Amino acid sequence: MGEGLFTGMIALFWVAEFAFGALVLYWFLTQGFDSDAATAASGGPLPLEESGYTLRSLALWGLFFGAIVLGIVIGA
Amino acid sequence: MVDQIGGFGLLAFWAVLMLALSYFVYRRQGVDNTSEFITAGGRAQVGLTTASFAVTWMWAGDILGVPQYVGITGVAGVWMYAAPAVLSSFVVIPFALRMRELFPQGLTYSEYFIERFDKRAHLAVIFVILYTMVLGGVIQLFVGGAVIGGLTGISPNVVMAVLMGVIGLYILLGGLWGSMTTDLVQFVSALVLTLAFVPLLLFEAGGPSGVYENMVANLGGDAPAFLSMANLNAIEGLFLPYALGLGVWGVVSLATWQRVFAVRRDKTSRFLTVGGIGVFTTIAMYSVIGFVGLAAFPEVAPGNLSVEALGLMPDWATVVFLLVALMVLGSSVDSYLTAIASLTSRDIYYRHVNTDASDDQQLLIARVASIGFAAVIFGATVFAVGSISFVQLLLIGGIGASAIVGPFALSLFWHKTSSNGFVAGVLVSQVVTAVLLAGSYGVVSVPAALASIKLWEIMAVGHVVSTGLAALASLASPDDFQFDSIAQDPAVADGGARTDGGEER
Repeated sequence: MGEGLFTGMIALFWVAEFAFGALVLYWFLTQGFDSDAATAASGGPLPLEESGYTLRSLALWGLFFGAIVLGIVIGA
Repeated sequence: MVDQIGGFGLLAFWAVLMLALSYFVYRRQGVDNTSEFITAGGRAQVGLTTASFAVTWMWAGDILGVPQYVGITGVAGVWMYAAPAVLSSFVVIPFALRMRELFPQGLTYSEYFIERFDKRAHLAVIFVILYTMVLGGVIQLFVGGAVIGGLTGISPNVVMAVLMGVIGLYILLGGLWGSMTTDLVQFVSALVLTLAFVPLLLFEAGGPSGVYENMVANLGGDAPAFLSMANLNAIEGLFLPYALGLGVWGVVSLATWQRVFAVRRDKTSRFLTVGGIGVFTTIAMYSVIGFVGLAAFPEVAPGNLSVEALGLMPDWATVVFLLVALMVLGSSVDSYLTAIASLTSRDIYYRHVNTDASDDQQLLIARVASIGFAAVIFGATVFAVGSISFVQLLLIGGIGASAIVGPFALSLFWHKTSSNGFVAGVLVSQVVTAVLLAGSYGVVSVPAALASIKLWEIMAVGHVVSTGLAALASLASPDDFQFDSIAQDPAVADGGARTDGGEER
């Protein structure tokens, strides 16, 4: 791993951490603590997530693991 | 280095802040029944739950552990350390979705086993969960006492007593709501550390270019291997044991399940995905501390790189760093303590001691348990400090996970899984791996061939024995379980707080 790649890796880590923190804090600031309104509207616990929603999560995992493998190959 | 007065001042500031937050959320959310105390009523929003989940998985030990990995194996240490923790979030997703299908609003996941099998299987699971959760608390407190005590000059035992006392009190007050709300502040603190202080440290040491050049100079002939992401020299010692143990700990950890049951049902996989991947990014940022250590302290042992590197920061930054370490430490300990309090109340007291217990009685037991187990964790940590290493503690937790995850998966997705198979798989696996681990450390006498078995092989044996035995015994005498028989009506699913005051059993 050369100097450029090393610097790029640290920059990537920082950007990813910033994006993660910003997303979670954005969710909290826009949604608050609990979902009383949504729960009340549904008349009970909310329905389980739809399969398409789960697939999107799995796709994110696929991208993540792919990025790690790519990083290992490029940084070898 | 901070003096003792400064150290006590920091502890006092942290204590007041955490207690005030817990009191705020106790009043705001009305934590006056078991469902609110144990699972935040199952209505927590995804942002709060994700922050709580992520910071629970960010251990105080990571600040020391990640630089140590980097000191041993270089840049490959980043993924070797982070992947097991992240893997746990991924593996738990199918379990979580299946459980929330069967138990839309469960309180503890362990109660599933009493419905799926019987009290015997339930007790086997309680045994493993209880000791792994106590162990989780001990691991955090162990590191906290050492780091904070070491940097302030305060006796580690005093630091640990203060930490457990305060955490026990704020969990007593707010339960999971208290834990999650304090976790949010602790999450922000961890972000400040990684986004502001780690770069500050990097530039104090000469910036990325300066650090890279000094690393290459100091490492000499080792530089190519240390600067390769594909350096697999230490994979058997650093990666595999933890991937096979901690990599599935999320499935066993009641702290994870409390957050699974706390979040809105329609956001289950999202919070596990974002939280899990986020833990990787945080751990990756900790690795920069290790790079700085390699660049600035070539003669220092890997285990001391973190403390030496952090010494490069100005004094005021050290004070803030200590506060952040307190926050990260508290987030994990409070999660394990809430989990144990819930387990005691629901799984032990309500399911085995007093099956007619009212919701008020269960809540009282949970609150008493939060204080009682705070004392137990403190006592166990004081004992562990002088007799067991940090790594040994992690590995003991790993064998607990390897015993349950396979049989648990079979029970959820295969109707032929029998109670006998489940119990045999869990217990035999526990005994086999415990003997192998004790033998590898010379605690008990085992044949030479077994004494030399590698740590990752012990974890693999645990998985093979637990899953294989559960499957074989179930094939020999299969069950024919109807999952519809336990699929609960969401409106009465928790078995706890009903408006008519009755119970659902």
